[in-house]
Amino acid sequence: MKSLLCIAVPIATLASSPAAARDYYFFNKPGVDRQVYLEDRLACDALAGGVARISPDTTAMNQQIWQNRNLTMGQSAAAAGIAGLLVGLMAGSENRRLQWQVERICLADKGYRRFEMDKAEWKTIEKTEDMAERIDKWFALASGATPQGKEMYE
Amino acid sequence: MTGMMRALLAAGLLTLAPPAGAKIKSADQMKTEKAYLLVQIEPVEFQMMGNNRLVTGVIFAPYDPVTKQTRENLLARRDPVAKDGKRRLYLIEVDPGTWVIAGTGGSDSQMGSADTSFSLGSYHFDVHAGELVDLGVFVPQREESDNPDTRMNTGNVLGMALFGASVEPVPNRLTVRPRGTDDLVIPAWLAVRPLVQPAFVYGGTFGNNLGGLVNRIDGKAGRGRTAGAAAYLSKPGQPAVEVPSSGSAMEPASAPASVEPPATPSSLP
Repeated sequence: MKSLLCIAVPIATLASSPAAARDYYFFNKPGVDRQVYLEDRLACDALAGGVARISPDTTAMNQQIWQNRNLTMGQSAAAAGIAGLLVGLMAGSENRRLQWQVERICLADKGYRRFEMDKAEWKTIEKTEDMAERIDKWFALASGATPQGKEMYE
Repeated sequence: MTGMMRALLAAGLLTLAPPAGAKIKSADQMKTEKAYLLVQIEPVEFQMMGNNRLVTGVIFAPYDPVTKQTRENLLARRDPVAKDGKRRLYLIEVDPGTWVIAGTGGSDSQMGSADTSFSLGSYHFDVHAGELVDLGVFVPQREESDNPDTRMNTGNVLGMALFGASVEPVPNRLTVRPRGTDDLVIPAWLAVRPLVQPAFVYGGTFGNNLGGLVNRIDGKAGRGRTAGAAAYLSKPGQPAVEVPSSGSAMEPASAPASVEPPATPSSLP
């Protein structure tokens, strides 16, 4: 437990992971032990983090651009640059969606259900500056016996 | 754009899983210091304006059950030794050791059929030099989901085509069953060699090294299932059986693969 709390980056990820979500929600498993909760979240964050390490393979796209005889070398370079930028931006968005999905699947596998929460409440928790206090608030929601809010699909 | 992005991401994923080595066409190409995996892979089926069948690859990786680490993946997807329609029979040369069924990859389509890492729990098994290991028949399937965005209905697909919307991918799961009389025929030059039945050990977990979605190999049905239970593929045409773990939850079972099934066997999920 001590070692877990000493790792700043994973804890920061743990505390802020719902921040990137389109929807506002929390995970709940009534009566879950605090240490188990932390370990579950870290394990699932690690799996979700695996998504970010994959970069799209743009080889075929670049081949099409550079082999296009209607483009000059300068135009090809510009086209490849713009396309690469767009692909990078879109890949970031797709990666985030995959990461959220991996997190949901992983936590559901560990017995957590997902519930909608109020956006303002969510922001209030996320704006809690003290990291331990913020984790306490998420843990209170995670371990509550009667979660409030509409249950969401996995 | 989203569809193209999915395709590009999928291509990126596949770069992590190199295909298995060159096709083996005769017994004299098989090396005594290597082991060989024989596996039939069925296509993924899904309903969308009729029944669709997608050829799908399966990824294997060397696995350490103690550290729960995998090493470089191997994709069974090309150069089958036999095929019938979209069913494929692969012969894969591997180094002796412990291997895990790491996931699915190399689908023909990105239409909501996601390549999947079985990071949450999979089967691992031991292979020894000179063995020809019959892994049986793998049946990959789309996981069920209550998420309406994952449904392969006409509205979602048209939305994807016309407005750039996306059908949210669902992970695959994979059922393992013994080879039966209706399955692909093993080539004669291979059939003369003795087949070794593997002892699958359930519950191997590992990182999301494929970079896509994750699942248990047996999907939602496997949640809460005890790790370490060994499953033996019995003789061709007979169902697989499970036996209780003989030791540590993550240790491979030490019982011989020739163990006889109990009187009332249960199927592998």
